[in-house]
Amino acid sequence: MTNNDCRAVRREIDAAEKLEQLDSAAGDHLRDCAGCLSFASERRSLSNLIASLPQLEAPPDFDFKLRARLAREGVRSRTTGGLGRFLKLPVPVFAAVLAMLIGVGVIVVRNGLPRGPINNAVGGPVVNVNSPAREASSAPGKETAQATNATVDKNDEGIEIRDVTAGPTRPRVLRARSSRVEGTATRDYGLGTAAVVSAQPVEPAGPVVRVPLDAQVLRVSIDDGRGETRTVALPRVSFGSQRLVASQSFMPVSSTTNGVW
Amino acid sequence: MDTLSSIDDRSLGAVALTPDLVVGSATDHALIEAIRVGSDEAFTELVARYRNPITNFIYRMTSDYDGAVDLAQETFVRVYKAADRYQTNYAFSTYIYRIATNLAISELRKRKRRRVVSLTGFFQSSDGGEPREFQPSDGQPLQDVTLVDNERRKAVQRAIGTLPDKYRAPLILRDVEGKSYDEISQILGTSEGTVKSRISRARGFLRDKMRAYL
Repeated sequence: MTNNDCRAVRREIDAAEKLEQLDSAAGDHLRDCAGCLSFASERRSLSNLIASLPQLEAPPDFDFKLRARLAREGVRSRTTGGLGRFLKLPVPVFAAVLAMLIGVGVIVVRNGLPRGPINNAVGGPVVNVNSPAREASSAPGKETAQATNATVDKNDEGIEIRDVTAGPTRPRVLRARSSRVEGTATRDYGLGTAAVVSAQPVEPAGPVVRVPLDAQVLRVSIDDGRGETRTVALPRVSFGSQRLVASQSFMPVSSTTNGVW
Repeated sequence: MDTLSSIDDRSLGAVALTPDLVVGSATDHALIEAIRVGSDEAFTELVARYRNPITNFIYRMTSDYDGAVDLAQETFVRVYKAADRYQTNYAFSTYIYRIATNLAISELRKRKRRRVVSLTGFFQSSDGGEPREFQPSDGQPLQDVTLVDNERRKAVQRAIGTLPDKYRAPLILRDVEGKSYDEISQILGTSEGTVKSRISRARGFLRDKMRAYL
């Protein structure tokens, strides 16, 4: 008689519906093993104790309350509709949906709602403004060289100015969104940090306009080809010192007369 | 396992099905089919068959009679709502006990989180006992046999109430409700071996707690 025998017999005792159903080998073992016999006795007493628990009954008004509850639930399910169903989502799903909505909200707040095409290929008439750097002057009081290499991309929804000077790793799109109502949109682009201007010379996709760097405010009037004219007023732009400019292919300054073009 | 042959063979329309069904002798699956087509009698019969065992089972799990009644009603509400989606792969009793088990375990977890003490438990009379820490008496025989029996029952119920959830459910299903290992494994969604092991562990716990009464 080994511990393994005892373990097997006790497992059999536990699994048996009644102790009388044990096979003969287990019966023989019980006759010889006092420990297993005690185990079987306790097991029988425990079963009797648990079986002595009375069967509780449901209260007499169980059906009535159940009917009332079903009617209430039915009304609630009809009235809550989609929102109620949404609120009953499991917590992880609800959290995921909420996080997604917050993420979309943040993106929308940062970039504005995407409206129409924003690249040059799809947009409306494009005016490239290539403003060459002005030679840095050693004379005090003079401004350092400025270089702008901006593309003004206009479509029927808004005006974007793609500022390739912004950001060391990715071009930053500065979007001067004009409202549907005709008016003037302004934005100070000199607030950001100076960045490296793209070394690749930008092929002008449209007419090249010389920008008067001396002008205090650049006003850009854009005709969208459908009879509407919009005017964008740009304050003076400073992109930092000349050495930040990586490109050597700037066009010489050729200012126009009054700053309006 | 019950079959739907008796009700399928009629090949009647949905509305005509209900009056022909003798709810008292119909199988559980036949009653569910009748509920699907809007038979209130079938639902009443189903409730009559299972309200007591389900209430008793949930009470043994939660040790709170009012809460058990509430959860038993919730069980039937879910059965009613899901009647259209019910599949006859398993016995209906397995299905309804599974719902009741899940509800009871959810309730126990809620209580653990909120540390709920049932106020109604203070007034429970039959064998619910007072909600105090389980402290078995010294096992000395009392004068009155009835008192001894009552004391034993209370002690057993309290001892069951101290079992971990995963041991409590299979033990009650087996030793109180008298379900087979196979059915318990289907109700709990675990293997039969796991069920046997958990029941054995549960009995071991109970033996240690109830040694004075054995």
